[in-house]
Amino acid sequence: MRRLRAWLVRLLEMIRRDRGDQDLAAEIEAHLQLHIDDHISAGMSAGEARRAALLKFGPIEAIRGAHRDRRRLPIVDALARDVRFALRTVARQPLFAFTAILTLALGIAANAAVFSIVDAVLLRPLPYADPDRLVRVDPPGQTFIQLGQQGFTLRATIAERVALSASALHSAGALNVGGDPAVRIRGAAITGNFFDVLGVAPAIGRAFTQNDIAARERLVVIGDRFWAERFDRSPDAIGRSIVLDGQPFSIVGVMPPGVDYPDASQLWVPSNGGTQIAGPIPLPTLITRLAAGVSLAQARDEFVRLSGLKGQSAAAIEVTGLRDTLVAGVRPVAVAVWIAAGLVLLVASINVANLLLARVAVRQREFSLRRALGASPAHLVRQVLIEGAVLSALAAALAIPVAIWTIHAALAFLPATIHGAAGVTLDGRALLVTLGLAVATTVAFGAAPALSVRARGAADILRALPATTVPPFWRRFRSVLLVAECALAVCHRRGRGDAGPNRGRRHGHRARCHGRACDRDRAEHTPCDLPERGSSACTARRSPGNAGGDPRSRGRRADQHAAWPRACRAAGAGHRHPRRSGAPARAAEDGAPTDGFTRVLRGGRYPAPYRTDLPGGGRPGRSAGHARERALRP
Amino acid sequence: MGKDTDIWQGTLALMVLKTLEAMGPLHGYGIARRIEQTSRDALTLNYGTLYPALLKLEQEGYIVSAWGTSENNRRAKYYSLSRAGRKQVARAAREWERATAIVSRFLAPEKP
Repeated sequence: MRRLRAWLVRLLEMIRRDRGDQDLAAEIEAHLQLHIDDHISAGMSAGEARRAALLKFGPIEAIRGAHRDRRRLPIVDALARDVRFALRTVARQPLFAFTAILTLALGIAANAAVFSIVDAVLLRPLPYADPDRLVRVDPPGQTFIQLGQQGFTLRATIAERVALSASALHSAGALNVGGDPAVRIRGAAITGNFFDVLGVAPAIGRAFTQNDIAARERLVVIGDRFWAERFDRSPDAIGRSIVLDGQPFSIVGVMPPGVDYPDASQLWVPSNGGTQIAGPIPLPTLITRLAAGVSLAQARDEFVRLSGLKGQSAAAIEVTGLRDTLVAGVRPVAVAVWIAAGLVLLVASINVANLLLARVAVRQREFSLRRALGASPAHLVRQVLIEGAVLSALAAALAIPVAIWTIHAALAFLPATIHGAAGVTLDGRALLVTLGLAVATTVAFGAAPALSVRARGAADILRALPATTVPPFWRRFRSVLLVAECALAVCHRRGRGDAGPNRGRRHGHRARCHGRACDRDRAEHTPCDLPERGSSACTARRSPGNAGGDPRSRGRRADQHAAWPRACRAAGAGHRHPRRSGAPARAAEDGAPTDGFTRVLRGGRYPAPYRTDLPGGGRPGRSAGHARERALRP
Repeated sequence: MGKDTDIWQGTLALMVLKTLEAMGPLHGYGIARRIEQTSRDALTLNYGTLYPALLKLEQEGYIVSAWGTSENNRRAKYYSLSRAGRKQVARAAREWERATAIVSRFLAPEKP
């Protein structure tokens, strides 16, 4: 309890502006003054008294540090420091950061957008009461139409329970709505108990009664979207009149949001099962609500019995769940697109992993230096985790607007009658899941250099001949990643090709970018040409630890990671690192320290291009760290 | 230093609270001098180490602090016991005596 109070006090101290240091300084000074007074009254001189008081006080800086650690929450302080350092590190490598963030953002955005759409269209339950109990009966033969018109309730003798309850008919079409502007809205003609079967009641107003239908009144129930667009959701829409197909209809009710059966309808007019809506009119459709525990097969048998048909005509009767009729056409495409988006995220993650691993050599030097200066491995790993989190956070910030834009673009292409298409919003869960995946990737592969640093080997790494760069394990792992990436991208392409108009034209032998060969089907339009061994692209493929990389190659190196065909090319160019053991390290043009990390330690900017050699002699008055570096050089 | 520091921290807190209970409101220098006196100079501590301990006690709510003037007309920060502090003194003293009683039972048979 007391500890909690102490913790809260410290938390408060973090939020307020820090005057604790000044308070403590004043208190220490007051303490010393009192002590000096005592000494002076005991006979010491002023100088002696002060010295004695300071001695007796103890190590002032250590005490001030202990006081500060007790006053504030040192973890939060350390975290804030690490985040600032991570931001500086990311800013130090603009091209890498840009590529990684863009790749991650696209993967996250694509996945989040696709999942949001799939969720709204396929997964979300219908907004009706017990939507699994709603079925559609095909074909609506004459018997059923008559039954539907009467709004019949069936009592079947299946286990003495009511097997089927109310049924209703509807036909769907589109209506011209007069007004300003005149629009064409999808609507339906329904029997009186249509909304009862669905199990929804109007949000305001009422639905149709048997009297309305008998009297052939010109009444209409409107949907929520139409109400918002046309009447700004004002309650006095009830009783107003709109012109449908040239005839005035009076509004009696408004449906709650989400109700738009059938076919994204927003207008419902009463009918007696006849053809009261203009436009191409399909046959009326029969929907029924099943009682609990009645299976589709039992319902189908019941309808067959009711229809009195035999043989072939009886076999044509089908009872399907309402939800299935709405989404059946969409499901295969939606699932395929979802899988494709998943592959995109996977490829993006692999890309980013590759980018991070390519920095292994650079980061190893940095981490070796920091370990030699006294940082603990835990601190380095925490630093890397925060860098990964920062990259992912930036990627997420970019991904959200891209995902929203993608959803809007996709909806523009989807037919408006797809159930649920109108209600698609960016799904928070999808965003969190994909963000989690991105963070996991960044962290896992960014931690590699931090984890693989051993303090003992630090001196060798710091001396860093050009040949000692990426440890062989990570080199091979990168090759595996490249192969996997090519394979995935091929699957992706194949999958897209199979679903498109060229289905059947391409034959399916898996092409892999592997070694130097890149067998491709002729029909593929993406060439995978490999550069010769000695060409500049091959040279640039060497790991960044090599001295002798020219400024152009830095940009190309980063580009190579960004897209599949180039990655394919790069894999073909081989992952050898030709050793140039005799090559002298190139000094920088201006004699300034060229080790990027050391420069940042001194507060300078990170130079491009990066060199591996340690700074030579030159300016006097260097710091101790520099002397230590000099000592480490051969 | 590890666990020794914990025991030391605990006993230091008890000593500070007891001093404040006996002497009333006192500044940091006064508390330190008083602790040395009470231990009959068996304890010599760096006076500065008291301040983080005083801060911890203040954060836990056992003491409260206020700037005041000493008898020599010097400004100093005075600490005094809160009500929770008084209860804590009694409780800590009881626990300490119980702990020493247990340990001395172990130590006693060794003596010839």
